[in-house]
Amino acid sequence: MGLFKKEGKTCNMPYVKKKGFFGSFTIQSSLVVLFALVFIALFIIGVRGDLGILSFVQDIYVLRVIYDFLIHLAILPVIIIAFPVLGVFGLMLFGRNSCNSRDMIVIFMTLFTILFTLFMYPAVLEEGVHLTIPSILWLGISFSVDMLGFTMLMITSLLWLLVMVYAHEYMKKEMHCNRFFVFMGITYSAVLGTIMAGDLLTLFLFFEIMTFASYMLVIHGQREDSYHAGYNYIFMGIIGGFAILVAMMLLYFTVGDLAFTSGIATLGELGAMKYWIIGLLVFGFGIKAGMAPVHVWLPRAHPVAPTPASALLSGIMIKLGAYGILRVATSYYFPLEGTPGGDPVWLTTHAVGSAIIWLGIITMAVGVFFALQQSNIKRMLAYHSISQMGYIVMGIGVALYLGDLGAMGYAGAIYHIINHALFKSLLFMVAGVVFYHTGESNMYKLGGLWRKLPLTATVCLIAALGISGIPLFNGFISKSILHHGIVEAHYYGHGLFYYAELIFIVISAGTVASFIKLFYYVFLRKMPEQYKSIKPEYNNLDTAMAVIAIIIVFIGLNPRFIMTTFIVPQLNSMPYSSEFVQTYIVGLTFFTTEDLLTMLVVVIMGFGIFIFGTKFHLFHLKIPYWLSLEYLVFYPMNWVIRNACQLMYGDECKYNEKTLKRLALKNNKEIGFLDRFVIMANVFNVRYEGRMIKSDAFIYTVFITGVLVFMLVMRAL
Amino acid sequence: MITQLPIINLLLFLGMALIIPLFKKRSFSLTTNLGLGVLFLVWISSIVLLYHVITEGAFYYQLGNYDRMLGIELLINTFSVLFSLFIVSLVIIIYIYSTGDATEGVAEKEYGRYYILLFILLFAMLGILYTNDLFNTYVFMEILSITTVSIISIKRKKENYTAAFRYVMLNEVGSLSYLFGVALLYMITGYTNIELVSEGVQSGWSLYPANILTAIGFMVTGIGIKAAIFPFHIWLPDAHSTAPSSSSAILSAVVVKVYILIMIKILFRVFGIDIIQAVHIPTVLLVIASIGMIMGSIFAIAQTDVKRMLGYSSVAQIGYIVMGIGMVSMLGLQAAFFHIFSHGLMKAALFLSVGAVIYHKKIRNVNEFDGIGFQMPVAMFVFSIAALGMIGVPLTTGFISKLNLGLAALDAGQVVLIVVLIVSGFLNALYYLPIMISAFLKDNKDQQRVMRVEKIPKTMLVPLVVLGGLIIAIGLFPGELLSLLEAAALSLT
Amino acid sequence: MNDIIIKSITRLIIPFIQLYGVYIILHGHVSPGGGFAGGAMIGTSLVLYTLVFGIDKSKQKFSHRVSEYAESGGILLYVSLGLIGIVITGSFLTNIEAGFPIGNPGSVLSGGMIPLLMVGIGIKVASTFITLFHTLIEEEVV
Repeated sequence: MGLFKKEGKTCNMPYVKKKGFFGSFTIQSSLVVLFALVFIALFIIGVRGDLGILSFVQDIYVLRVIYDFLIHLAILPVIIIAFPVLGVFGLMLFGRNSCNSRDMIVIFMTLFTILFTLFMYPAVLEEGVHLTIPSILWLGISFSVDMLGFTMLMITSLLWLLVMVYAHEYMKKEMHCNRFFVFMGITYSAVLGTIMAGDLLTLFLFFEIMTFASYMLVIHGQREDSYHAGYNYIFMGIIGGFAILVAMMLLYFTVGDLAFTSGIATLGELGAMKYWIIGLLVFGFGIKAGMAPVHVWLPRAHPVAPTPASALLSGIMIKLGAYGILRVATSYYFPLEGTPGGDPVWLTTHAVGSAIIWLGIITMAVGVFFALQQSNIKRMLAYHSISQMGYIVMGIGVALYLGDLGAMGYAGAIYHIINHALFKSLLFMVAGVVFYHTGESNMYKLGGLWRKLPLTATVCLIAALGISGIPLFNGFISKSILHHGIVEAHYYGHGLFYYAELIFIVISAGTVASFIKLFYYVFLRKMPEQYKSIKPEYNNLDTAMAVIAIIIVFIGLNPRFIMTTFIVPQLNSMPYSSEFVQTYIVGLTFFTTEDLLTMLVVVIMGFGIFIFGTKFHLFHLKIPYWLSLEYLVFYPMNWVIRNACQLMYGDECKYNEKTLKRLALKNNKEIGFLDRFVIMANVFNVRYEGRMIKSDAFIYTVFITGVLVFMLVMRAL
Repeated sequence: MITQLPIINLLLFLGMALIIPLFKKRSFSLTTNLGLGVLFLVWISSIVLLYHVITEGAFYYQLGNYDRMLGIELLINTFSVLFSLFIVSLVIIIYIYSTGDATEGVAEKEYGRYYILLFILLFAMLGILYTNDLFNTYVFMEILSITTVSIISIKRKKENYTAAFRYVMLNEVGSLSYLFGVALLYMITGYTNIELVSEGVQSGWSLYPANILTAIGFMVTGIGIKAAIFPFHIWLPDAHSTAPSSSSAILSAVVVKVYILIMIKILFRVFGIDIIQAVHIPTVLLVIASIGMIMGSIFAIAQTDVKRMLGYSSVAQIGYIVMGIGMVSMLGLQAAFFHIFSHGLMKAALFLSVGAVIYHKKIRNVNEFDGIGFQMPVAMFVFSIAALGMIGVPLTTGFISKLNLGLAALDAGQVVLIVVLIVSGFLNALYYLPIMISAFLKDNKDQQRVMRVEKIPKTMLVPLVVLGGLIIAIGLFPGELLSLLEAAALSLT
Repeated sequence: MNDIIIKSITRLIIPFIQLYGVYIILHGHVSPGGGFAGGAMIGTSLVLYTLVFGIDKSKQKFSHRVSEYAESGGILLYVSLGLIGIVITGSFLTNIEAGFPIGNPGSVLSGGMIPLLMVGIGIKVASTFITLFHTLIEEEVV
C-alpha cells in the first residue's frame, strides 16, 4: 500500500507475527482490557455491598490488610498523577527498540492508573479524598476528589486505556511514535491532575500543562496545516489560560481562598466584580470546551491530529473545559448545603445560569449547522463535538439557573459527559479505521464499505444511534434528562426558555440528519472502484472499538447503573433540595411514552432534513470570508493604523501598498488574525524603530519638560 | 569582623581587578580560577552578612571613621545585602559560562582585559548597593557606565563602536541629569548623605517645593535613561545585541537592575512616599511602564536578530518592574523585587543559551533556528524553560511574579494594570513560541533527527542547566525568597 | 623628530619637569595640586620624551610591563593603606586614629597618610597618561 511515505523512523519495525487470526500483541492487550473491565465491575459492585464480595475480602486476612492499606493511602492522588509520568520514563528507557514493548508499557501504565483510581472509590463514597501540599507554588496545591471527580476519572482512565490499545495499531502508519506516546503520557498526567484539583491554582497549573502537552499531539503530523492548526490551538489556549489567571487573581483578592468551597457569602456583596469573575472563568474554560464563539480552534485541530489524539481531544480534553465551568460555578457560586430554596443568595446563580444556558444553545446551533456543511469526516465530527458540548453546557446552565431545583440539569450534564466521551471517541476511531484502510477522509468519495469492514460499520451504526439519541442506546438517556432539564427551566423559570426547548429539538433532528448522511455516504451506497481491494484484518483497532460499543449498549439498556453509582451520590452532597432529588432523579423512569414520542418526532424531522438537504444541495454552503470572526475584529484596527499613518506622514505613508501587496501574494483570505498582527508589527517597526533611535536627545528633552510641566501642573491643582 | 565584610568585599573585587594584569601573561587559567575563588569568597561573605543583618539588624559603616556629615557612609541592611547576593550569584554563573570561550569575537589578547573590566564592574555595582551617600552613588555610577561601555565595545567591530558610543552618550546625559538633581538637593539641604538629605527634604518641602520637584524630575529621568525605561530604551537593543553573549547576559540581567535599585532608593528613602505621591510621580511611572510593556513587545515581534529581540524583551520586562514600583505599596515593591530576581534568572538563561547556539552554529537570525533543537538540545531546552517563564506558565518563576504583580495591582486599586500585564504576557508568547516550535519541530537543512547533547565546553553547559533548574525550583518553592524580599521591602521604609 | 636643538633641550628639561611634578605630589596636603596634578605633570614629561625621541625608545624606557606594575601598584598601595585602618580601628581609610603621624598642619610632614596616598595616585596617573598616549599613537584606524 503506497499510501504513506515512510520517511524517518516509523513504527513498522520488523516483529515476528504469529500465523493465525490474532497476533500475540492483540491477544495480550485484549486480555488486559478484559481484566480491567472485570475488575472495575467487581470492585464497584463489591464496595457497594452487593454480591457479598466485600465480606469475602474482609474474611481473608491478607486481602483485608492489603485492601485497607490501599484505600486509606493518603497520597493516592499524587500516585495517580505520578503513574503516567513513570510510564513515560519507562517508555523512554525501555521502549526504544521495539514497538511492542513500548506499547505494552503504555498499556500497563494505563491499567495501573485505572486500578489506583478504583482504590479511591470507598473513600470518595464516604467523604472524598483530600490532600494538601502547602508551600509549593506559593499558595500551596491541593487535591480533592468527590464523586464528580471520581466519575470523570473513571471515564477518563477507561477511555485512555482503550485508546492506547487502538493507538498501537494506528500509529504503525505514522512517524515519531515515541514522541507521540511521551506527550500522550504527560497529557494524561495533566488531565488527571486537573480532575483531581482541589483549588483553582492546582486546576490552573495542570490545565496549562495539559494545553502545552496536547499541543505536541496536535502538531504531530508536522505538515503545513498542522502548524496552522497548532498555532491557533496554542494561542487560544494561552488566551484561555490568561483569562483564568485574571479570574484567579480577582478571586484571591476578594475571597482570599481559592479552594473549591462556597464563596457566595463574600462574592454576593461584590457587585459587578462577581460577574466579571465568572465571565472570565466561563470564557477561559469555554475556549477549551469549544463553546461558541471561541470554538474556532476545534475544527482546525481535529482533522490534522492523528486519530487517537483526536479521539482523546474530543473525548476527554474538551470535557475538562466543561468540568472546569461546572466545578467553578457549583463551588464558588453555590451557597452551603442546606440553604433553603428561597434564599436570596441564589439570585447570582440564577443570573449566571441563564447566561450559560443561552451560550449552550448558541453553541449547539452553530455546531450542527456547520457540521451539516462538511465533507471531511473528522471535521464534521469536530463540529458535532462542539454541538454536543453545547448540550452539556446547557445542562450546566440549567443546574445553576434553577437554584436548588437544578438537579436534573446537573445529572444530565454529567451523564452526557460520560456518554459523549464514549460515542464520540468511538466515532473518531471509526473515522480513523476508514482512513487507515482507504487513505481517504472525504465522505463524498467513499461508499459501500460495509462489505469490507463489517465490524466497523456495525460499531459506527451503534455510535450513530447513540449520538442521535435513539432509545436502547445511551444517548437517549442523557438527551432525555437534558430535555427534562430545559423543560423545567421553562416551567419553573422564565418563559423564554420555551424557545430554547424548541431549538433543542430542532438541533437534535439536525444531529440525526447529519449522521444519516455520514452512514449513508461512507458505508451504504455503491463502492467506488479503488477500494475493492481492501482486506479486512482483525486487530487492536477492532478490539477497542468493540469494547466501547458494548459499553454504549450496556449503558443504553441499564441506565440506572450509572445513575445510582455515580450521579446520585454527587447530587446528595450538593445543596440541591433532597426531596427534589428523591422524587425526580432517583425515581426517574427512563422509557416514558413522552420521551419516546419526542424521540420519534426528532427522528422523523431528521430524515426530513436529510432528504430535503440532499435534494436541494443545501449541504455545501460556505459563509463569505468577510463574515468570519477574524476579519471583523481585525478590520477596525487596520483602519485605525492606516488613518493614523496618513495623518502623520501624509503622502509618505507607504503602509497600504507594501503590506497589501505582500498580503495579496499570500491569498488574503487565508491569513489568520495573528499573522496579520505580526505583519503589522513588522511594518510599524520598520517605520518607527530607526526614527526613534535617531531622535534620542529629542525624546529626552521632550520627556523631561513634559514631566516637569506635569508635576508643576499637578501641584498647582 | 563581620562589620568589615562589606568593605572587604569591595576591596576583594578591586584587588582582583588590579592583580589580573600582573598574572595574565603567566597563565590564563590561573587568573580565571583565582577570579572564581574571589567570587566565591564574596558570595559566602554575602550570605554571612545576610544572616547577620536578618538576625541583628542593619548597621552603618563610616569610611575613615568620619561623621556622616563629612564622610562616606555605607548602609548595610537587608535590601542591600540581598541584592548584592543576587548580583554575585548571577555573576558567578555567567562567569563560569564565559570562561568557556563564549566571549565570541573577542580576540585572544583581550581576555584578560575583559575580566579586569568585569571585576571593576562588580566593584562598582556592590558599591552602589552599599553606599548611603548620593554623590558616592554618582561616582560608582560613572565607573559602572565606563566599564559597561568597554565590555560592549571589547569586540573590535564597527557596530560595537557605534552601539557603545550611543550608549555612552545617552548614559552621560543620564548621569549628568542625576548629578544635577543631587546638586539641587545639596542646595536645599547642605548634605549628600541620604539620611541627612531625607530629613532636610522633609523639612524643606514646604519652603522649596519647586526645587525638590525639579530634582525629582531630573533624577528620575536620568536614572530612567540608564535603566532603559520606555522612551529611553533606545540604546539597549544595539548595545545588548552587539556585545558578546556573557556581556549581554550581565548587562541585561544585572546592570540594568542596579539602576532601578538606585531609583527605588531615591524615591523611597530620600524623598519618602508622601512627597512622591504629592507630585504624582507614581502616575508617570505607571504610564510609561504600561506603554513600555506593550511597545517593547511589539518592537520585539518584528526583530530578526535573536539578541536584538531579547533586548527589546528586556525593555518590556523592565516595564513590569517599574510598574511594581509605581504602585507605591509594600506589595508592589515586593512584586517588583521578585520580578528583578526572576527576570534576572530568565534573561540570563535566554542570553546564555542563545550565546551557546551562536558559538556552536554561528546562527543569529530567528528564521534560521529550524531544527536546532536536535543539534543543541540542552541549550534549546533551557531556552524553552526560560521562554515559558517569560510567558507566565505555571511551574516557572515568571508565573509567580505575574501573580504577585497582579495581586499588588488589585491591592492598589488599579485594575487596568492587570489587563496590560495579560496583554503583555500574550505578546511575549507571540515571539517566543515560534522560536521554540521551529527549534524542535521543523526540519533543518542537515536533516538530522537524532538528539545528542551538543559538543560545547562543559563550562558552558553547566551554568545553563543550573539556571534552568533554578527557574523551576524558585517557581515551585518561592516562599523563602518572598519572605526575604518582604523583609527587604520593609527595611527600605 | 630629528632636530638636534629639540633633543638637547628635552634631555635637559625633562628631569626638572619630573622634579616639579614630584614636588606637587608631595605637597598635596599643603598647597594646591596633589596626586592628580603632579601625576599629570610627570606623565606630560614622558609624553614629551615620546614625541621627541620616537615611540620605540620611549617604549624601551617605559614598557608596557612597567606601566602595568605601576598602575596596579599605585592602587594597591592606596588599598593597603586603607586596610591598615581596618586592622587598627575598624574603618577603612582612617587617618589620624590609625596612628599615622599628624605633625603640624601646614608643614610638609603632616596630614597623616595623605602624602602616601598621593604618591600612589601620582604614580598611577602618570602611568595612565603615558599608556593612553602610547595606545593612541599606535592604534590603527579601524
